[in-house]
Amino acid sequence: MISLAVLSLFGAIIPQHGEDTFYIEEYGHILGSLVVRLGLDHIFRTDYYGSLLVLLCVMVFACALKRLPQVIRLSRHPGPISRVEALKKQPCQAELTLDVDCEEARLHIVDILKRRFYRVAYQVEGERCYLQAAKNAFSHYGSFILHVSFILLLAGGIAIARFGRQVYENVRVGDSFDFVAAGDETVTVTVDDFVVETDDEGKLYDYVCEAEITGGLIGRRWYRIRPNHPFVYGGTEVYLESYDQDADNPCGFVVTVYDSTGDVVVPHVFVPTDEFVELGEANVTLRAYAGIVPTIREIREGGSVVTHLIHEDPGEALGDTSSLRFVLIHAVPSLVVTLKVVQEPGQILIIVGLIMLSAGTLVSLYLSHRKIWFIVEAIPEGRSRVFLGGRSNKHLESFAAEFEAIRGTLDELS
Amino acid sequence: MNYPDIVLTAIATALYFAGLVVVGLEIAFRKEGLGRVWQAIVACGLGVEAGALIARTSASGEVPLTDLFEYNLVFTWAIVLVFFMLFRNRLPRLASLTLLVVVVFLLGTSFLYYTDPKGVSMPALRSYWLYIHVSLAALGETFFAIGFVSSIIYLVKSAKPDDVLDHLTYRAISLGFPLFTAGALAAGAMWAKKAWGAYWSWDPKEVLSLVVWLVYAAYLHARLVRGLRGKVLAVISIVGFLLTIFTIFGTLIFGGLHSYS
Repeated sequence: MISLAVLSLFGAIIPQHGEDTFYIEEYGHILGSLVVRLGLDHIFRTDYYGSLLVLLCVMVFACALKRLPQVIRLSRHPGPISRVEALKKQPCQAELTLDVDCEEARLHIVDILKRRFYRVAYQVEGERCYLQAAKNAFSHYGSFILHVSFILLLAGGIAIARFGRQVYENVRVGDSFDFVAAGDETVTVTVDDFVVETDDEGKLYDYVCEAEITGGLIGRRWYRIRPNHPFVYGGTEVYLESYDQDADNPCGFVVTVYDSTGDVVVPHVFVPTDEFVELGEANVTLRAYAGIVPTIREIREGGSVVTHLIHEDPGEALGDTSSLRFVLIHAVPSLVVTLKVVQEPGQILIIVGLIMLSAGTLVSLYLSHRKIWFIVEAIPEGRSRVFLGGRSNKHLESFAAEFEAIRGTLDELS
Repeated sequence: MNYPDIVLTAIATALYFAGLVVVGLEIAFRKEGLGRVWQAIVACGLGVEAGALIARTSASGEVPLTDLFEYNLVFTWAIVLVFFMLFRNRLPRLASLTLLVVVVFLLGTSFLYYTDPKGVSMPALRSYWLYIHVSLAALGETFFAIGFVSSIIYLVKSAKPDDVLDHLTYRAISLGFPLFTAGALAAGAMWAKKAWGAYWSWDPKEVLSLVVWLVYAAYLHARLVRGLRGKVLAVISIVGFLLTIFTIFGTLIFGGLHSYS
């Protein structure tokens, strides 16, 4: 655990998945090379980190198995204690004389204990009665549950890494994409709109991708995919990731270029990115232009500068641009909704593992296995003497308080 | 900075600092009469800080758990409250002094990250998971803070195995650990799945929280399974809380998916 903690610290401190040159620039040649050679730049995907995780799980599994028989034995209902001396060796003990007979005393004890959720058993032997009560025996399973949860979490993680699938779909409003859900059912998601919702004061409230979903069993449905509200169907989840410039297939500002005589040279689309993109007459396929010579121009719409950043190749595309006048005709939004399509077959293991992780820590640290034994013996004049003793595997203070409360309630019969 | 939350936070910080000075005087001059004075000052600080939380909630219209300033406000308030309610009379005065140093440090630094309560809030934070994840994690870390204080006092004052301070550290960590597990890790993973589509992304804050969890798990394992007591465990508890603080402020250095917090 300490090794994992230390290695994880490296992973948190050192930026992950950078270029080799980044680490050399950031940490110097020797240290940077060391970071790359040791795989500290992608530590969570290194074999040794994975091996440590697997080793931890194997140890946890072996430990859980080894301790299981002991856990089962400890959580069994306790047997009776028949000797008063043995009762007096318990961390909490008391002795009372009650004004009721042995049978009535037993009934009262059982009643008091059951109100406190103890499981009670008793044996009557002549003038004596032996009672033994216990609660929270389940607490012994806390650490076992915790150990099993690690194994489930790791198994779930491996299943997701091995069989999971994550695809980013960049979709313009009006466009659609398909995914294959469970049962080979093809589902089509069409983005109808992207809306930025605001509250009454105009404050940002939510981002919403309004989508139409169609498919075999679904029929036709509309869904608002929002942060924290993915569309879930057939083992597939569709998340709203972003609404941004389309990096793969950009479009941009449509600019008409006039020469000095006022003739239109060629309509162009300029993109305020690092790539020059040429538009033909209409919406032909946009492509990046290799070997460009960037120059910076201003495009004005009315009196205001729309963008400064235009990359073009004057030699090939426009010739001498010094005499050209750029006029912005209209801006074509190059924005796309990015939806993340996720299929993770190991999810159930993760969910059960997380629930067991929380439950295991709660059970093992908050619950204590409490046991109380009683010996009730008849004494003359229809009275009875009660010896009681008890113990708890943890939280002794709290058990002592409960023991005292039980003794006090019983004492009311004296 | 015209909102009452920052004014009230400043007053609360000043009150805690005044309480810190008075505890120091009480310890230095052994004047027991000062005990009531600093307790009254800190109680006032607690009340004023509660006012700051209410003012912030009222101004933003949201539960104050969304950024570092708000988290520090809730965290320090919980530390002082839990300490006063559960541990004040069980720990020596030096513990109160140490605890107030931690609180004044956290509250003092929080001014560096003050955000306008009416600023833009992130739609990604609009989820009931926010309340479960952040509040449980904060409560867990509150108990770690108590464990940190009692461990320091243990090392300074007694350092005997089975000392009451050693036991108190264990009680504090055993209370904090399940809350931290359920809040920071389990609820965090569930929310991450809902919001980002992955239970675990190796984000710096996630990794640091895992490290904190591993350190406290090592503490409990060493104590409950190996039967260890004393100095080693106190050191682990101190390291655990220092890492907790590092985790809280880590997003400022490392960024990542939690960079808004």
